Amino acid sequence: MSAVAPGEPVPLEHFESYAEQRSASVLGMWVFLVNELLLFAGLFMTALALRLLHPEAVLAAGEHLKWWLGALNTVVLVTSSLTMTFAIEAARSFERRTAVLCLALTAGLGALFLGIKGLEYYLEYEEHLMPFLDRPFALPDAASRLYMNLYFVATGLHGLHLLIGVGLVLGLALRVSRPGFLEAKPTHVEITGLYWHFIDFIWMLLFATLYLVNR
Amino acid sequence: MSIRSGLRASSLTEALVVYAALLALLAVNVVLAILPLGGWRVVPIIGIALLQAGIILWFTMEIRGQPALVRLFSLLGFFFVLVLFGLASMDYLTRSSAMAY
Repeated sequence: MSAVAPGEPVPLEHFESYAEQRSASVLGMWVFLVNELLLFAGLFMTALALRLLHPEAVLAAGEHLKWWLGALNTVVLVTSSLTMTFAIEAARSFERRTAVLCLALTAGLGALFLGIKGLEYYLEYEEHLMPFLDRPFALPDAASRLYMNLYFVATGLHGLHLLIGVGLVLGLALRVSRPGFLEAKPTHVEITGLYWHFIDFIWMLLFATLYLVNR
Repeated sequence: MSIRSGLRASSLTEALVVYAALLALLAVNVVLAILPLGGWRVVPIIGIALLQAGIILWFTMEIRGQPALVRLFSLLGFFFVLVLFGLASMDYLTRSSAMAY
């Protein structure tokens, strides 16, 4: 291991420098995110196939989705990405309090997103739009059931990722609040931020694909 | 990486500009979706969503500032998404209506 420059965090023993360790961490996160992208890509492909094969049934189901709640959630998630960007910048500048505050705000906005999503699911439950439950389904066409199933799988998977993200960000805020953590591991916020922004990235595509295109 | 203090104003300004751009594009997309514009609106809606996703990748996820290897991995991911969509679409787009189930 080469000598560490003054003020530079000490890298793990198999890295020459902290910059090299940071590059490896970012690359590792991207490898994971690319796998996640392919997971969601299958769902986007399913949405395209359903739209091509059963346009009327998909449009009939799409009209029942609460696009205004989806749009509100998009605003919430984009705002959470902004606060996460601020948290990353604060972490890079070793502004511990600002970083903790921004991380807490990010987790709070993530929780708000999940709350709004829960309200949306409740409204859909009330309107008999959950085909996997043992109760009458509101739409007559079987392909509408397929579309609603896809909607719940896709948004549920996204929500699960967000729930994990909220847990990660809260845990990170707790660790960052301890003096010395940022100086020792300054890239933790950046790597977690990549995951958070990816959730935002996926939602942008989900919102357009599920809510807007099929109205 | 050396210790430095003070938030970079340029980064924060850029983040705010990106935020405003994403919300403006969202507003355009919602307007396109709720107005009775016909089936063609699918193209601009998906186009704007892809633009939003691209802005997040390039600016928010800082692809532009990453080393070549990271850029290569992210590009490879999208390449395989294109392969997935290309091969699957070849099936669905070439089916006759009689074959559609």
